[in-house]
Amino acid sequence: MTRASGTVTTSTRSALSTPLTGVLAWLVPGMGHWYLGLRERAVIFFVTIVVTFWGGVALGGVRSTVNVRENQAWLAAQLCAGPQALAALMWSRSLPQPPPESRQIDRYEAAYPAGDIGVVYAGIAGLLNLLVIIDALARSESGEVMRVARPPPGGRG
Amino acid sequence: MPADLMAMLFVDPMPIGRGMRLALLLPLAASVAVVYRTIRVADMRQLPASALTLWLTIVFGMFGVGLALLIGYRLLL
Repeated sequence: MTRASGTVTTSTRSALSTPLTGVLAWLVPGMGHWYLGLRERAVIFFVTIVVTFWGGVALGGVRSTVNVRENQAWLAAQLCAGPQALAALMWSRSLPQPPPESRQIDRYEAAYPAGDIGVVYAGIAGLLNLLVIIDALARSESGEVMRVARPPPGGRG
Repeated sequence: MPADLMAMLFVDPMPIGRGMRLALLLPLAASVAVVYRTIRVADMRQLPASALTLWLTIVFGMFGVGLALLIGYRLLL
């Protein structure tokens, strides 16, 4: 452990901290960076990824955007955005569907191109969060932790 | 009331016109530029200029590729 001008940098981390960083980063976009003390970055990641994901859902509607039957590869990308994607998937599945034999139009199904654009937005949000998770893991592994500035015990800082 | 608002926002798809399709590239490129540059910059004060440069690069790059493909397509026909 080294201490310099009131900032404590810890190089010896507990064995659990890197997996925990990854899990937190998946649970809430930016939370991994927040845990590492990189709070400005964390807020930017959170806002950008959440707005992109839900912007996509708003464009295409939740049924067309997060759809397990039609967009399986994209769904895998969307799920990288964390539990918000799971919530959107459950919401999508909870919407009533017209019976398969009926010719009734599904009012929740987006017309081209809104559905496709929504899928791409939500998928890109998930892939961006994957990038953010990898960055948080790399920073955690390299011991790059910015603890909140606090004076050393007994010192004048 | 919040449930109605949520339904209006996220359940019913938005109608997207022809011009809107291209315009929707701009916020998506902005998201990519901001997240990527937030990861890469060492000093957060560099972020706005750096993200703006990357955003412009992506947007003009995409329009350039689109234009080149359109010209190639027209020449072949």
